[in-house]
Order: sequence, then C-alpha cells, then structure tokens
Amino acid sequence: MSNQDSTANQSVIATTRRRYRSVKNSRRLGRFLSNRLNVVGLLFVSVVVLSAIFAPVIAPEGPNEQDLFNRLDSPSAEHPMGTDQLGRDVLSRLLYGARISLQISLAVVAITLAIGTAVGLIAGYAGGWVDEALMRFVDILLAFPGILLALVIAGILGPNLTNIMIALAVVGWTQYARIIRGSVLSVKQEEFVKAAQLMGVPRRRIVLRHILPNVVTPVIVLATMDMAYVILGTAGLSFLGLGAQPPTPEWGTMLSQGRNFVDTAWWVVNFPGLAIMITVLGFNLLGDGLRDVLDPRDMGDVENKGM
Amino acid sequence: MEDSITRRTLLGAVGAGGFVSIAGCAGDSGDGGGNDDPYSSETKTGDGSSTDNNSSSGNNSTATGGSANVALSMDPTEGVWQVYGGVSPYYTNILEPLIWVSEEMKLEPWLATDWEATSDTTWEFTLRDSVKFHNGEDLVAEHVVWSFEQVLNEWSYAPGWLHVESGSVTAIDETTVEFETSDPFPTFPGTIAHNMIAIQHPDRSRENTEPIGTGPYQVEERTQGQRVRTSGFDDYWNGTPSLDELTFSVITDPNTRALSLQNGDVDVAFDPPKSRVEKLDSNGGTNVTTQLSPGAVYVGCNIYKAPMDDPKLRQALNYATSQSDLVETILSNIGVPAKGPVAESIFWSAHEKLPAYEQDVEKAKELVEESSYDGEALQFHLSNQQVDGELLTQALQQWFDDIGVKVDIQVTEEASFEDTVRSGEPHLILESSGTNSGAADYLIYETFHSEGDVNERLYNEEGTGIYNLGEEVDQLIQAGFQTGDQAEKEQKYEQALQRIMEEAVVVPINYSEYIVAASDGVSSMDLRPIPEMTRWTGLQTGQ
Repeated sequence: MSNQDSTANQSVIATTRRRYRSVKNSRRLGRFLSNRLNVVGLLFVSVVVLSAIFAPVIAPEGPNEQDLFNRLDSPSAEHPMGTDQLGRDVLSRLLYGARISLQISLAVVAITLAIGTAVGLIAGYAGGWVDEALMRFVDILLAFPGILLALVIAGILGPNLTNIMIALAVVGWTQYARIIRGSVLSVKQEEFVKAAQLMGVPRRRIVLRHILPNVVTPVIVLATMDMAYVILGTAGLSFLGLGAQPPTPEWGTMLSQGRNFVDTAWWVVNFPGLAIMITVLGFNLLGDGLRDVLDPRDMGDVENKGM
Repeated sequence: MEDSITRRTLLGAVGAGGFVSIAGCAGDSGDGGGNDDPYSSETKTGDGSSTDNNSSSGNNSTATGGSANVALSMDPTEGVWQVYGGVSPYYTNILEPLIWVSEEMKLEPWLATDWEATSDTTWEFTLRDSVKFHNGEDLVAEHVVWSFEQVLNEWSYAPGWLHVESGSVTAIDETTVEFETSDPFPTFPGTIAHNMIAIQHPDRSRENTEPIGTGPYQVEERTQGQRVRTSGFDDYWNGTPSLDELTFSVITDPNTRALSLQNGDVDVAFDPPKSRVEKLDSNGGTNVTTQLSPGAVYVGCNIYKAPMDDPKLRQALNYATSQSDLVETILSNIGVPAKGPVAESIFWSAHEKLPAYEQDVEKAKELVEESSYDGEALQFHLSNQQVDGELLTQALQQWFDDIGVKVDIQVTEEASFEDTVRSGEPHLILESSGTNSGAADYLIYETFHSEGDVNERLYNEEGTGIYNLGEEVDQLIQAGFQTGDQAEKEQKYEQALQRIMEEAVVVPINYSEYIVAASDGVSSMDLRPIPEMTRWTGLQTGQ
C-alpha cells in the first residue's frame, strides 16, 4: 500500500514539476514578465489581495476601535498611517477596507460576467429576433452614462453596499454581452461547430462545450480591468453617500468623511486615496498585460469598451 | 501593438501624475489663489480706498465707505425668494420684518414700535414713523397688509404657520395694522419676528428681480446662484450703513468658504468647517467668532418602538454618553454640552433644573441588564445633511456598544429623512432643532406634544407617536403654549422638559454655536443668536 502511495505521490510531484516547468518556460509567461509594467501591476494587485486576506493578522487595531482623545494623530510608530477623525487607526481601516472593496468587485464582476456571457451566447447563437431584441436592449443601457445610471439606481434603492452592488451589476453586464456576441458570431461559422451541428449534438452542448471556451478569452481580460472600474465605482458612490454606512471602513467613505481635514490632517484622506489609486492602477496594468499575452490580435475588441 | 503601448504609457503617466497631485494636496492648499474671481479684485480695491476711513465704529451718522464681501452657504437668490423680488431677506438686511430678535432672543421693536393683543384672536401693531423704502416712499399700513397677503398667498404653509388667513390683515389707519388670527395664538408676535415675514414695497418686481425693502442695504446687482451686490441706503431709519458696498457671495462648500477667506477673496465667511477653526484663528490675517444659537442637537428615542419603550434602556443610553467629551473632541469645542433638547439660550430651556446624567458605564450596564433589551440591533437614523452627524453617531455607537447595546447607523437622504422619522421606523434619531424666529415655542410643541408635527401622524393613526409621553406632558405644553405670561410659560415648559428628561426621551448632545470667520480688518460685526438676523449696519473693514 505504502509503496503504491509513494509511487502515486512521486507521479503527482513529477506532474507538478512538469507543469511548473512548462509554465515557467512558456512563451506567454516570458512575454508577460518581459514588460516591467505588467510585473508592477501584478505586484500591486498581489499586495492588495494579500492585505485583504490577512487583514485581521496584520492590522494593528480593530477597524472600528475609537479613541476620541487621540483623534487626528499624525503617523507614528504606533499608528503608521495616523488616526482619523474618531481616533481610529487609518492603516487598520485601509486593510479591512481592501476586503470590502475586493469582495464587492469580485461579486459584481462575477455577476456581470455571468449575465453578460449568458446574454451574449444566447443572442449570438440564436440570432434572428432574439438577437435583435437583446442587443437593442443592451444598446439602450449603453446609451446611459454608466456611473450616472448606477447613481440613479443606488439613489432609488437607498444607501448600502448591497444596493451599490446591484447598481453596478445592472450597469456593467452590457459590455460582456456585446463582446461575447461578437465572438460567438464568428466562431459559429467555424467548421467544428458546423460538424457538431451535423452530428446532431444538442444545442446546449454545442454552446457550452464548443463555443464558450473559444470566446471567453477577451472577456477574462475585460473582467480584470472591470475589477478596477467596480472598485472605483464603489468608492465613488460611497463618496457621494450612496454606499457604505458608517462605520464601515470603505475607502470611498473614508475619503468623503476625511475631506474636511485635508489641510489639518493630510493622512486621513491621502492614504485611502492612494489605496484606491494603487488598486485601480494595478488591475489596469494587469489587465493590459493579460491581454497582450492571451490574445495579441484581438485587442481592438477590448479597447474603449465603456471603461 | 502600437495602441497598447500608448495605453500603457498613459497609465504610467496617470500614476505618476496621481502621486504628484497627492503630494500637492499634502502641502498647504493655498493654490486656490491663482483662481481669481473677478469679484475679489473689486473687494480689494474697495479696501484700499477705505484705509483712511476706519476711525469710527458702530452706528455712524456718516457713511465711512469701503466695501465687504460676505460668503454665505445658502443661496440668497434661490427660487423660493421670488416673492421678495428674488433676493432672500436672510442675512442680507435688504428687507426687514415688523419685529427683530435681540442678542438675548427677546423681541426687538423694529418696523413696528408697539403691539398688543386687543382680544384673544386680534393683534394691533403700531408702525414706526418715517421709515423709508429704497424707492424713497414712506412705509404705511397698506404696505404691511400687501406684504402679508403676498406671503400668505405665496407659501401654502404660511397661513397654518402664522395662524392668519389671507384677508384677515387690515389697515386701521396709516400707522396701525390689525391681524386676526384663526385661533387664539399668543406667540403671534414672536412667530412673525422672522426674516421670512418681511415688509416690502408693492412696486417690487418679480419678473425683473428687483426687491424694494426698508433695510440699510439696497440691491445693486443680482447674479443668480452666485452673488448679490448691495449698496448702503443713506435714508435708512436706524443709523447710516457704514459701508458703501456689501456683497453676499454664494460658496456652498465649507472648505472653499474658508479658503476664499484665507486668500482674501471674501472678508467674512459663515460656517467654516470646524476642523479649520483653529487654523483660521491662529493664522495671521483671520480670526474666528462663535455665537450661541437657539439650536440644539440630541438623539431622539422612539418611545413607542420596542425595546425603546423601556425607560431603563433610554436612561442607560444617557448614562453611556459623555456630552463634554463629544464637544471637546468631535465638535472642537464649538457648542456647549447639553442637558436637554432645547437650547440654553431660550429662557424656558430649564437647563439648570434638568436631571444630569453623568457618564457612568457601570450604572448604564446594570440598567441595560434590567431592561427589556435582548441584543437586537437598534436602528439609528440620521440625515445626510446633519453637520458632523456621522461622527457623532459613530462615537455614540461605540459608547452604546460598550454597555452592550448594538446600533446600526443608517444615513438617509434629507428629503426622505423627515418621512422616515414620522413613520416610526427608526429606534434612535439624530435630531437637530433650532428656530429662525423670536418664538421658540414650536421647538417643544411640534416635537413633544402628541399633536405636534412629529408625532401627529402615528398619534392619529394608531394612538401612539414618537416622542410624546402622553396626557400629562401634553397638558403642560398646551398650558405653556397658550399663555402670554412669560413666567407661567417658563414654569409649564420647565415641568414638561423635566418629565421628558426623567423619562429619558432624548439623549442630549449639545447646544449649538455657529462660527463666523473674518479677516482681521473686519470689526463691529453684530452677530445675533439667529445667524440669519446678523446686522451689517455698523460693519467696518478698515485695513
């Protein structure tokens, strides 16, 4: 038994090694790493993701622990980024804020990706009046400035984080639908799809097994960049008072509550601002890099899509 | 490929730019000065010419000249002021009411020299002689009647507010006006001691936005949403205005108001942000004045919504709170720690006689234990327009949490806030009260009487309410409201407020002060408890 186990283990290790080597030596990785900006993007994103995951471990204090008599303390050894207007540690709030921002953007991107892909696949493959109806609906949604529509929706639903997610999701899925539909239209003409149709493969199977894997690449790139857009949107709506309720350590809320202290306590607004900037920049650079690596010919599709 | 490189370069540039601009923010934000309003230069020129004219102060017999620019947070050209020719009587001193309000919140005879109740529902006002309008005509009783008709027809809430119907204001002779109230209304004189009930000349023009009033300053130029430029009115009945020119600029953002003052674009700025007060006061060139207003901030407990219906829990919240800590820290010492819901500056506020809940965490915890509170999160609502509201609620949230009471904060849009409160949905509500007139009675009536504005809906529908303790307090408030006798009013209201605080219907926070920052050359500012009633007649800007 143990012998078998160790052989199995060995083979697993061997496969892993082989995979690792193939990834390490792949041209794609090489190309990705060859551009320094890509590495910077990856670094920024990793920092944010890691600090979100390990926030409870790294954070010197709880995000909502107040100390009224030590409010607006400048950065020191005890509070590396100072304290805010209620004496809370800014660094701790930023770390916990990373969790909120990432959770929201992941959720929103996942929802928009799912809706957008479904609509795009249906519209593209079904064609005819279904396509027409769906795409005209997408056009209507796209005709609104995205953030404005989100503002209206969040305003109607009332201020909290769930409603912000709904607002951003309602606005965000259209671009995915468009891109997917476009790709589906071309892939549909490929011979392997025709072959599958002739062999009587069910429609659902054709769409999911043969078409979907061939159209997702540009969407993955877009989704990465969309993370940045959603983080920015969340912060923006929260800044306007439509998002997180106090005392949630959301970055946009921190900015908005701290802006009265800009010239007396610069650290209260500038650190959240920096956090937003680094995250957004990171995701944008990463998205750019991924696009070059995954689909160098297809970049026209992603460029300027409602960003 | 070409394309993507551009994009990447762009991103890099944006990043670098971001760092630079953040570094810029970190420094002193004095670069707004380059953004010169054409108007500010006018002010500066005016200052220069007034250098040798700053010897006298107060009400002068001769104009000393000069000009000043006052930054307001409100827009005096808003649509609601069309009835007065498009310029607000608030702050501007262009139009005046029959009665003004003094530094002690007492009624001050103004365009009317005397008034008396001739029966339960009739009032006779005697007008001041030789008051001139800006067009040179004398003020007579007909003008007062006309002005009241305008107001009563303009604002649908005016008849209910003043208890006067259109057509029940009559001129008895040239200098006597009779008002007939729709029901006995002892606080009528105090109610009309309000800027919104100003006297104007019938020749004023709504279409051409030309107000005609009796105030020390008359409108020269009105720019919608931006400013009102006025000049001194030499025939003013109450002294000669000291300035040739006085401008009111609309600057809605508090930080921008403070910065404009620092840059010398304006000479006076109302309500700069609290966080800048210290800096404005210690910096050379500017100083800060605070003035107690008839306002108060407190947390209202919805005493009909479980578990807030338990007085023990409400008292516990009071014991958990330290008013002086809040004022000292969050409010930067602007304001006075409160013991009740009515501002100390109002004579019946009962401040001295109210029970004091000193912060006592142990006692508060015991009271929570004894109460019916079972760990549910209380809904704490506040309006997004409440100044410092989010900071106050978060600090309270922490203190309530310390005694084991969970609180969820909900910031609500100002427009829907009032409605949410009246629906009885929240447990706790951050309230701020205040009055713009000489009559403060409604502060207690509308909030704590069962038929007051806040409680009325639920009282009529379900026999409950929000802040109304019931029969006993209703009667005390009613008695105080109906009497014209000051001592009796004081006694009744004090008893009512004592009951309210014993039952801990509210958690008091502070009595409000407002802040006015001015450049050092500005003197003789005549601030009143009601900021809208600030007098500008004697203002000096000698430098």
